[in-house]
Amino acid sequence: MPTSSTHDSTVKTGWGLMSVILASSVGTLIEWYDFYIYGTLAPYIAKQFFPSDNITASYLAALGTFAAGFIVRPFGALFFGRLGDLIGRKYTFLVTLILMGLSTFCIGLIPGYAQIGMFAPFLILLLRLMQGLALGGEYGGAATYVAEHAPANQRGFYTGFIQTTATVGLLLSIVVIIGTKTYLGDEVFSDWGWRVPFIISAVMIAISIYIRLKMSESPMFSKIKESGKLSTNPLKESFANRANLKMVLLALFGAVAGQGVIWYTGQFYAMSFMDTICKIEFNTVRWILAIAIIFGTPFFLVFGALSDKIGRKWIMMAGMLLGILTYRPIYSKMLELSSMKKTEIAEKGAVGTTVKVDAATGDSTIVVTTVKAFVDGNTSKEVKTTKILADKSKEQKKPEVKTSVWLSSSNWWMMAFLVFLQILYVTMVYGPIAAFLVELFPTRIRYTSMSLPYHIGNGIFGGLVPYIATFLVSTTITAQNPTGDPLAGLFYPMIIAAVCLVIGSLFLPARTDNLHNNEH
Amino acid sequence: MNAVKKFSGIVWILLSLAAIWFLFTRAGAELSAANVKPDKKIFWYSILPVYVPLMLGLALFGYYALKGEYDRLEE
Repeated sequence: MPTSSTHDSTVKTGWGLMSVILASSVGTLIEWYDFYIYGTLAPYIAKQFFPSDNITASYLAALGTFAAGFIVRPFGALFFGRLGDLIGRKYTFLVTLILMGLSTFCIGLIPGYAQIGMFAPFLILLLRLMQGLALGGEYGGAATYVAEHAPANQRGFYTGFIQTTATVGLLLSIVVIIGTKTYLGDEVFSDWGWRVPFIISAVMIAISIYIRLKMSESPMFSKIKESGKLSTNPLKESFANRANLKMVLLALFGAVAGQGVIWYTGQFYAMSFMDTICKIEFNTVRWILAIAIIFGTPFFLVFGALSDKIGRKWIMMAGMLLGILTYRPIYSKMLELSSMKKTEIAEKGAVGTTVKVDAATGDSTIVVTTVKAFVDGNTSKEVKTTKILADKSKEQKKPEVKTSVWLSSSNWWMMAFLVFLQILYVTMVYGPIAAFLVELFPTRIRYTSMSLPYHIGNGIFGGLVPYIATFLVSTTITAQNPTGDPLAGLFYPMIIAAVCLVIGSLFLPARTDNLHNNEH
Repeated sequence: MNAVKKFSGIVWILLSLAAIWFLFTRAGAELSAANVKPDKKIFWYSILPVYVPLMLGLALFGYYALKGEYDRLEE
């Protein structure tokens, strides 16, 4: 592979560097894909493994959501970060890839609750925790590995490729899930088809492992290893050393916490908002997100490259500021676009009723389907299912109402544009962050030191956005306003981003690419 | 600018204490209600042990800021 000297004789350029980036990025992308498919398929998994009438299984389901999503990731960061600083980047992120691949593949194979009882939810929880651990170790390794190969004056651009993987991984998961569901049909997908995205991950992981096995160790790591300057206790050096701990705290509260909430609001809360509050139809939401991601992804590289020229700090701060200022108007517009409080076109509406009686029990099910068409071109379908028990002494169940909204073409594109804007903010805060974190810490403890704030910022501050936002909306529900304030959830990301913006603006150095220049 | 950084240290310490107080009062109110759902219990029992140390971290950041530890970062 050709190498050339810019700042360091070990730095790669051209195809040599691109092959390093592609090899690292493919593995990281697959890990994100593996992590996301569980989240997207959670309702199907819950149906098979966590029956709602079993209290222990319900606890395990909730634990799987919270624990793997945010508690375990920082532990993975500590465990694998330490390993990466002791034995090297290459072998450590190879291990995380294998761990993630095995966990994902096994989730696709575990028999359901109906077959093996309580073993099923326990095994699923265990595998989900392993996924969280693996993800905690992967990102820091990949970002460090690429940054340590790249020329110092182009770190932002080249680590930008690693930054695209989380978003492209989400896109891949959406495409595979929609494709499988469309091909197999709803019934088969719900029965066993949901396992397919997990199982085909094994093929992708096998290819990634093959690619990574051919990679060589990071040149900076090899250099300090040869000179005997490796850390003997990276955890102690990272978090018990006051000089480094203050940088970890600065990275967390001055950059990553804000970046985390902007990221999760733009990608995940936007999706959850369209699903649960706007009531937009399942596939439509995924396509809107997919289009926004496709148009937004190149900007990770644009802002990464720009950060090489003007510094990382103000690009990230601008992304946070834009989020704080525009989230409420953006989400108000999203509500307006999907609103059903508009003038209806009566002649295009329809109501149908079906009644089914169970011959064995005498219970009857009444399904009322109401289709509405609105003047702006939107349509909606409300399916109200009422089950009437023959035994009148039993408590009658409340009717289930499921509403789906289909957007008109112009509203569809406007909605995609609003999500794209949010993805653009994501690219501003997330594009430069890998280079920023890498530059903040010295090579000997870099993997450990950068992984922990990254996974606390993204896993905890960011990962909790959908849950805390939902909680905040629920606190505004009153008897007079039974739906609450749908925009109340935005206060959480806006407050965290605002605190981070102030800390970052005040405390972060304008340029970080020269912090450890005397190291090599 | 260094004086602003030092003064802001007090703000971060107070903010972290206020956040801890808010978390405990909110969790107390939610968990003492009748028929608490499992996901709500898990939510709060997960949030408290995770967020409280993080807020203590913010207080530590404020303390370092107050002590002037971030005054000459580039050096």
